[in-house]
Amino acid sequence: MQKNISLTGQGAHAGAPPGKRRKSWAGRELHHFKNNRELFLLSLPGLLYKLIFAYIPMIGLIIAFKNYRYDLGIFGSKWVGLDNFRYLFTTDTAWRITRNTVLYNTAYILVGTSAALLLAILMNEIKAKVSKFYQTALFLPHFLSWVLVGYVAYAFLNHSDGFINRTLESFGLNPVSWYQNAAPWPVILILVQLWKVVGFNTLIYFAGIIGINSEYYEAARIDGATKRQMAFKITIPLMAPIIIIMLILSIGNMFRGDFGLHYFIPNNSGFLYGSTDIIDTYVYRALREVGNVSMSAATGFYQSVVGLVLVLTANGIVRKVDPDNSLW
Amino acid sequence: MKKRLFGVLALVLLAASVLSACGGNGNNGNNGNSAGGTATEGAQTAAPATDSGTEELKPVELTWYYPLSQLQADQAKVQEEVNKIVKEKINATVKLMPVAVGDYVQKMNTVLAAGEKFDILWTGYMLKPEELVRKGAIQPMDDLLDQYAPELKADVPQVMWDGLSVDGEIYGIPNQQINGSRYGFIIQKRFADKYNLDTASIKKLADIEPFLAQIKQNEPDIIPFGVFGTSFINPQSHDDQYWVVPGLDDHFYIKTDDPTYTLHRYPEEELDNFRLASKWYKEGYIYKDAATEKMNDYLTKGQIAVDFNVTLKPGVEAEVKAKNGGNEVITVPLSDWFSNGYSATTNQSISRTAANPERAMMLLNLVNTDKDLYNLLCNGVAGVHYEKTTGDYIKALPDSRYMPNMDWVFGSVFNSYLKEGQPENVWEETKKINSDSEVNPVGAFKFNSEPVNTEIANLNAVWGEYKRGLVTGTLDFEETWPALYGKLKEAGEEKYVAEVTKQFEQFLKDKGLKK
Amino acid sequence: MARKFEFSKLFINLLFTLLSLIVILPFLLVVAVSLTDEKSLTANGYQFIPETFSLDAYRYLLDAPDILFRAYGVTITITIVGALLGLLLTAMTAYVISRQDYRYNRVTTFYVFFTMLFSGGLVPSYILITQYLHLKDSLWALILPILLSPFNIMVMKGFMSKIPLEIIESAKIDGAREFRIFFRIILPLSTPALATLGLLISFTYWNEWFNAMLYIDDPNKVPLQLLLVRTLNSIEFLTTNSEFTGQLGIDLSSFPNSSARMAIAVLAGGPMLVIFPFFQRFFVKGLTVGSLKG
Repeated sequence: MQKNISLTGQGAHAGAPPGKRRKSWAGRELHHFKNNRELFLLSLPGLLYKLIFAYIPMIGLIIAFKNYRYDLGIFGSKWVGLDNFRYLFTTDTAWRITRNTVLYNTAYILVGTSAALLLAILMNEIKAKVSKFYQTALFLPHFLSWVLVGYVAYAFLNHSDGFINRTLESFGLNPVSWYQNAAPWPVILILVQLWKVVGFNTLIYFAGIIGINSEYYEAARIDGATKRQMAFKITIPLMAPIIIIMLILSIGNMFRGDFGLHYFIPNNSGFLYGSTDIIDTYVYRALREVGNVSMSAATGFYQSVVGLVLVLTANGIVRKVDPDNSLW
Repeated sequence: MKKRLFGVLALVLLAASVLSACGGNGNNGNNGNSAGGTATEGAQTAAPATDSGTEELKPVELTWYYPLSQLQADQAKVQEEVNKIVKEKINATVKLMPVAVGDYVQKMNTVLAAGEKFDILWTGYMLKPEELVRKGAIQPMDDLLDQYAPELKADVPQVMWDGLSVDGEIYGIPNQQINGSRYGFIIQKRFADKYNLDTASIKKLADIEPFLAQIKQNEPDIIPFGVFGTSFINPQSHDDQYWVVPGLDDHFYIKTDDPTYTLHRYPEEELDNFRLASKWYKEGYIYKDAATEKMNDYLTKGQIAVDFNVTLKPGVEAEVKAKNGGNEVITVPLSDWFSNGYSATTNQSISRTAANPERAMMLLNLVNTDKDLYNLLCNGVAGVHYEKTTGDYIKALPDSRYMPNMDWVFGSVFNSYLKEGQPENVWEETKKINSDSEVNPVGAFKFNSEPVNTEIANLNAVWGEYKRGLVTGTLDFEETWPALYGKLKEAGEEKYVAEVTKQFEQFLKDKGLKK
Repeated sequence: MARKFEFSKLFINLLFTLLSLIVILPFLLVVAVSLTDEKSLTANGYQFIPETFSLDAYRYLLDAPDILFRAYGVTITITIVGALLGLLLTAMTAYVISRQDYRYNRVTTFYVFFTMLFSGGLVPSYILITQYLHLKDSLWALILPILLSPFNIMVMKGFMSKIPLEIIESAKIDGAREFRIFFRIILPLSTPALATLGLLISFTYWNEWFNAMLYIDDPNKVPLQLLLVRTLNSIEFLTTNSEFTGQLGIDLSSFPNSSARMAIAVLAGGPMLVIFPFFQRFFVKGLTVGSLKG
């Protein structure tokens, strides 16, 4: 058993251990595999699941490069090269939707992560019973679909009898045509997004914090550390893996906008597209009537490829700075 | 160790087979046959059945997808009754597959794209048969119609068959209903009476202006003109000068008396509608938030004085009254009845994957000729879901668990029982309109959008941004149009026009309209 | 020192109370609207305090209670089965890739992560589920497609990578095999993480309607959310396609109105308030290596 451990330990380092030079590459690899086989078996059900439900259907990615005809099928349809991608790049709007998608997602990531992290740290400071109540409350919006949030937002924002305009009027201010005025929308969208997801993210970070070994805090308290010091010196460093993972996951979806948020909350108002339109809403508008499978597949493929490039870059940077916390 | 590995693999395989077995059971438990099973069975039986005529039809199961605005609690009961009739008449059973209307397009596009085996689907306004033909989803039915549904073929006017033909072959059976347009105003009676509106003096769109001014001045809570911009208002679709070219984006026209059928794109007269809207918006005749609100919210409150409508059909007054808070309305037509051909609004098509197309055709023939079967689908079982009152009139029973209220989804509405408020001769009147309407000379033109998919997608996106603003006049036309036109050009306007022109010229040649 | 401490706690509590209020306020609006008489909604718009109180919306929805109860049954079934199975698989996969000493750690992580970015899309999945696995009208069609999300695996990995390798090494010295280590040591150590992920997975199943829309035609197997979302979708479709409804004479007044839409949300979300505390019980501090060894 002792031997087993040391070998597994070597497995993590790619360099060939001395004294095994005689074996061929395949033989060595088989040897490594044998040492890792128990862990491999543990992951096997998940790997098989992904193979069947994710990798096999990926054959369908080729639809993006074909003129998909239902009678000819995925393999029989004609190749058309990059034709299906063209509509995304031919107009000036391409710049607008790309810019909006990236900027909004960046804002959501920054605002969402810092708010959730702060709330999670604060939540750890108060009594468990009370914090459970807050968790539940903050999590509530997660249950509402965007369509319904859209109705609620409308009750607040609509021109003639929305709550906000009524309040403005009661203070003697002029009502605002929220759905025809693009300028305030970046703020509105960021707030609504925060409102909807902050509970979810807080929960994840909170679960991470309570998993931290309390001995660390005990030791820090004995050394006379302040709460703030503990947060920055213990909590955040120990939370780094989960924070970095959450960040990298978000970066992977940088080019994928939240359709429901950007479609239902601004009420799909054409006046606001300048500041609300993202790739996903544009595609919906462009393809709604045509219903073209190939063109929507092309969009998804484009978003995925950019996401992959971004994630590889982000992970590469993390790996340089802090190899232990990189994803791979 | 190898043993262990094999053990796990075996376990996984076992799990997979158990899963698939469950799935199979699910299907069987549900309705006797899984779709796959029927398909192969049907393929083998189809040929002999055709040869030996209708006497010895082998039993088959047909699957029929259609949209419903709300799914019905007693669907199973109605299906059972339907099958009693269908079994007796054509020895088939039909599996009714209603899909909620909001999901219909997504679900059917997936089902069709996946090549799932089924027989009949509803096509129409939101799932256009011509698009489905280009994607290879549905099959032509000329021969089937001649062989298995001669009565139906004869019953439907030629213009509808033309409207459902793509490249000379028929791809759908119309659910016959009104097929004419007559546009004009629907005006709340209380205001027309109060301000002594002289309806005879209103001949064109602009003539209503003085009346709108009166409403604006005296009725502060009322929206004078109920336009919310979801569809274009263009009388040029047919007036004394123009016909619209149907099946495109509603911005191509031909002149009424032009023997050369020259295409006109965005003629001044059409743009004048936007100018008028800009003016009316500034005057306050159009609601200030019209471009971002839903018309229905104001209609139900009875807040809309005048509404522009393109199908002022018989009985529309009763229909609108029910929708607008019970206020009585009068109609003021601005045009005669006309028809842009048949725009394939509501039909049944046969899937390319249908195992038994001929039996599907028999069923469709039956639905359109057997009044009992049709009304069973529309209204449910007599005595359980509705009761007959006098003559052909029926009344839904309270708390009925089956009332789809979408007669036009199943078949020709001319076979339907009458509901309260419908005039007794409503179907004769409707048929008369269908046969007497002036027909658009280029109504049968069918555009193949495939060569310009990219351009159409981008044009749709541009119009999506500006449409409601322009139609409601919220965006000032003169200020907006140059920028908008620039964007349209950038989106591929010219290439699109060139392709349309090319295909339209070909169409004119083929039809002998132009030498 | 002690007083300052109390003060900051008070401040934190105040902050959270304020935040909770902001979050709950729109929620209260939803509940209030669901209890308002439709006529007063038409006249006054949404209001926090109903002018005319009415239970009509709930009466409308509970009109066919058999359907609603069956839908609850389906949803509860897929939520329990899906959450248990999903959580186990997520933990197994995540644990393996969280082990820094596992030779295939990086490649497996990438293998899993890649499926978050790329997917074959709707059509191939539909073909797989219906034509190869034959899962149409089976509850497995609701459970399997969303069983194992790469996002959850990655989050779980984040939690598990905090477990010190020494614990595992020492267990090995004691002669434990990997399976035993995972089930006896790792899982108990990860209780808060498991509870969080369990919660997230259950919510995914509770809210699932899209696969049901595609794969379930049998009215007896429709989950709650599909029943409700379907109605919402149809209203949304019909009100935004007014030219369609106008031409075909669909009478929108026969539809559930705004109060019913909100009642739908209440019925769908309400039971979650029971599930939430169930998982919260496992959010316990101080479960450490020491306590485990004891």
